[in-house]
Amino acid sequence: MDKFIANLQNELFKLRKRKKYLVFLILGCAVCVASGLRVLAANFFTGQLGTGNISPQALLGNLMNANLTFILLIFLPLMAMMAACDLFVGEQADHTMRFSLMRPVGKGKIFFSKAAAVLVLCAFDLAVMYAVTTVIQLALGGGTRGIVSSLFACVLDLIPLAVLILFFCLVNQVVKGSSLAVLLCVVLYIGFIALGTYLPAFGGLLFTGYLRWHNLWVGVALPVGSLLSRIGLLAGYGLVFGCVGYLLFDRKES
Amino acid sequence: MEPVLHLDHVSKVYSNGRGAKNITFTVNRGEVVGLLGPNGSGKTTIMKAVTGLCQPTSGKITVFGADAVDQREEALAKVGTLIEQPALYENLTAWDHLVMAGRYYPNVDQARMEKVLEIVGLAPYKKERCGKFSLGMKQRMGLALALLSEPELMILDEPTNGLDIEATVEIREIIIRLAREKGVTFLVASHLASEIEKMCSKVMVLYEGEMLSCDSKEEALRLNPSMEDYFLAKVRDKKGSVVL
Repeated sequence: MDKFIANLQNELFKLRKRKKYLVFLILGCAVCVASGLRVLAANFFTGQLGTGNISPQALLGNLMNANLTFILLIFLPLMAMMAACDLFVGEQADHTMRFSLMRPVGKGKIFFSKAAAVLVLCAFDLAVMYAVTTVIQLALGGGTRGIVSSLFACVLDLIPLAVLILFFCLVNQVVKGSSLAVLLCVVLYIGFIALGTYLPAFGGLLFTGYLRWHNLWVGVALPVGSLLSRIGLLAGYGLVFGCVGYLLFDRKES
Repeated sequence: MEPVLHLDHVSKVYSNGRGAKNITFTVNRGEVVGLLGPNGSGKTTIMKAVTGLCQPTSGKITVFGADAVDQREEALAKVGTLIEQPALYENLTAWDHLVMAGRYYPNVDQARMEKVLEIVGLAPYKKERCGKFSLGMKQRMGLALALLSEPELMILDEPTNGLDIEATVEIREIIIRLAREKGVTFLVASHLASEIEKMCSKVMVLYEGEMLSCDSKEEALRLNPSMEDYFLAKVRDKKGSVVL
């Protein structure tokens, strides 16, 4: 386990040293701030705000929940595919993968610590954007509505995100070029999302259909049976992506 | 004599037919073994197979008694490696690299990192990004990373590649000193016969993926005036046998 943690620390260190992830995080936070201001501005100019017809609490309460669609469907997948490509295909292309491969650490630990590093990066960004959105909600008079439930939603949504990251890691094992890997990840991701949207029968079978699965957990009574089958489905996808990805990674030569 | 590395009928053949075929040899503790051969003779392939960068097509590799494929962690625990160009991240400093590499070994502390930088002469540049390093500096950095964990076996592929005369002599002296004073075992690949002659106690000649000979330096130089002549004699024997 110590070698896994050592490699995880190294992967996170490498990601931290790349400025683009910081820039992306700043952009993501700017979008969260802008979404709060946009809601206020739109209602101010349409005259609903200030006339007493509608309160800022009603408009801005649960702001994070409104932002989660952008964060979970666009921002974090984009970040995850970039990070996965940097840590796998990028390192294969410039031969820096050897840095870890020549150390006394198993290939399985290298593969899964890289995937874990991408998940930690996404979780960190999600936490920062949650904090920023919460501050904006409070600062603009939106009250505390939805703050706790949004936090719960963020934690829950890390599970399907982990499956998506393993999928991106798998895609990185079948191509050689960094640009091709990003392109393939984007095309496949958009393809799966579109398939789930336009053919709802498939939506429930695809792992991308559960990126906002916190919605399933909301309700007076938890649909336990339905949730169990979905948990099983996601676990199955995760196992397949993780195992096949590792198998291909193990056979790759540097 | 305690064997630290053993290759048993190891073959690694690439799709283009090149690679290394049916290689068997043993490296004992304290030896400095040279792999001598022209470009494309299979030196790097053997080294990659030993360090797990590629999997042998057949045969078995044992490092400190552990299987190099199935027991990677145990096999590489006491091994320092420099293969082809050192694997360096352009955006990270020399110090960053040492910190990252040090995480894999329990015995590496800050003092050790400072020491290896001094050994290879990179101490003044520790805060500089490796992307700005010259080829020679990168090679020194690769050597620093290989030395970091105080390994008992060092696998070096063309360690003086890209170095100037002064640095080449320095690196050679480091290798000889470590072998003599600390009993470190070396497997060094080079296409320069003179380099192998000056450093190694045992020499293996590789040619077109085949191992032509494995002799002690004394034995190699007994009938030949230089290592270069020894290599040429072995190649001539091989070509002669093909013609016949």
